[in-house]
Formats: sequence, C-alpha cells, structure tokens
Amino acid sequence: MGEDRDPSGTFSLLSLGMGLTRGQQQLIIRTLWVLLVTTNALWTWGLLAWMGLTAPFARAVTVEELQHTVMISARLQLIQELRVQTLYWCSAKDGQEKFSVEQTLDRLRDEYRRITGGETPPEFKCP
Amino acid sequence: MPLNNFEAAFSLVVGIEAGYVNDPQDPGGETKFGVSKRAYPNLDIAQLNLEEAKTIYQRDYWTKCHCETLAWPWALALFDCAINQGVSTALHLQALFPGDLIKFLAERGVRYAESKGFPHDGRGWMRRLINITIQSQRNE
Repeated sequence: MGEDRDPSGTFSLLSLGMGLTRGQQQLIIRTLWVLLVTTNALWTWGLLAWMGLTAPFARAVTVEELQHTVMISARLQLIQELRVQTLYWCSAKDGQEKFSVEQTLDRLRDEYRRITGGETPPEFKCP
Repeated sequence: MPLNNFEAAFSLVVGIEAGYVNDPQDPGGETKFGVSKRAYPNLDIAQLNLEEAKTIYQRDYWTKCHCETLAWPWALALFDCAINQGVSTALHLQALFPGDLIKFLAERGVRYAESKGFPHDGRGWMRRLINITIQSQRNE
C-alpha cells in the first residue's frame, strides 16, 4: 500500500491526508477532467442557459441588433454631415468651392445609399 | 380602477405635449395639448379643454392607427408617432418593422433627424422619443 502512494509526485496534493492509492487518484483526476470538458462543451453549446450560464458566443439576433444599431448611428451621422455640408455649399463664394463641396455631398449620399441598402438620402435646402 | 391603454397613453402624451403655446417658429402655429391650429383650423385652440383634446386624440390618432388592437408598448409608440410625425408615417414605420419596437423607435429618430425642423426642434423631439422608449420598456 505504501508503494502505491505518491506523496512527493504529481498527485501529492490529492493524496495529502486522504490515504488514496495511485489508481484512486488517477480515477479522480480522470473523472474531474471528463466533467470539466463536458461542462465546457455544454456551456459552449448554450445547454447550460437554464442555470444562468449563457453561451459565450453572441447570438445571431444580438449580432443583428448590433449591426442595426451601428447602421442607425451611421445614418444619423451622415444626415448631420449632409446638413452641414449643404450649409457650406449655400455659403460657398465661387464655383470651385461649390464644386468641392458637391463632391463631398456626392460621397456622403453614396455612403448613405450604401449603408441603407439603396434608400434615398435626405435633401436639405439653403436657409 | 386601472387605466385602460388609451387613458394611460393619453396621460403620457399630454404630459409630453405642452399646454398652450403660440411659437412663431412652430409650423403648427397656435397649439394646445399638442392640438395645432394648422391641423384643426376651425377649432378655437385657446379655449380647447382636456376632454375635447382627448376626444380628438382618440378619434384621429388612436383609432386611426388601430391602437386598440395592439399590446401596450406598441400602442403607446404608434400613438405617439402618429401624433408627432403623422398617422401615415406611423403606419408606414409599423409596416416596415412589424413586431420590432426598438427598430421602429430608432427609425423614428432617423426621420426626425432628416426633417428640416430638426435644428430648431430636434432636441425636444429626441427627448420625447427617449421618454417614449423608456415608458415602453418600463411597461413591457
């Protein structure tokens, strides 16, 4: 029995004060390992959600919501920029300056169409 | 006795809409409880009382948007949208985002930002929208 013990080896902590044989130690370690891997797999697959452990990956709906939030935010920024650039265009003194602002406006409108999937960007008038 | 959905929505919206205002910058002109002279040219806006306003809101916004057939947060959001952005916009946005209240509310915000009155009224509109969003989440 004494030879089976491993007081100074890998399993020393487990056997400390418990009087376990090496075979018993190995069985416990294997069981714990299987439990750890199984729990991790169940958690990853989202099968532990019932006990409050939701899957570590974002759900598709969350990703979709996030994309929508980003899109709305981008639209709001573009609308504001279109409004400001239109004011610049209105106050531009010469043709070259107007042309430069028109290019910016075109770029912003293209961007707006791109992120909205083809919606017409708002048109602002000079005050 | 608990308020029904219309009563509850009306209380919230009238809380948002100011009393009597006659702001020359407001395209609606003279307005009381959110009822404007532009929308109701034959009405004596200054003399309008709360019960009359309630009748108008129920007839022209609540019923027209079929809010009585909707669950609470949708009924409130649609009702408020109809009042502030128009019945047709409210119904159009509802059709664009069926069952997705957050997208509906977000789109309302974008419509506000696109409108020409945004630099003057935008802050108030956004405050209103945030208030409605909070109320709809609170009662969901």
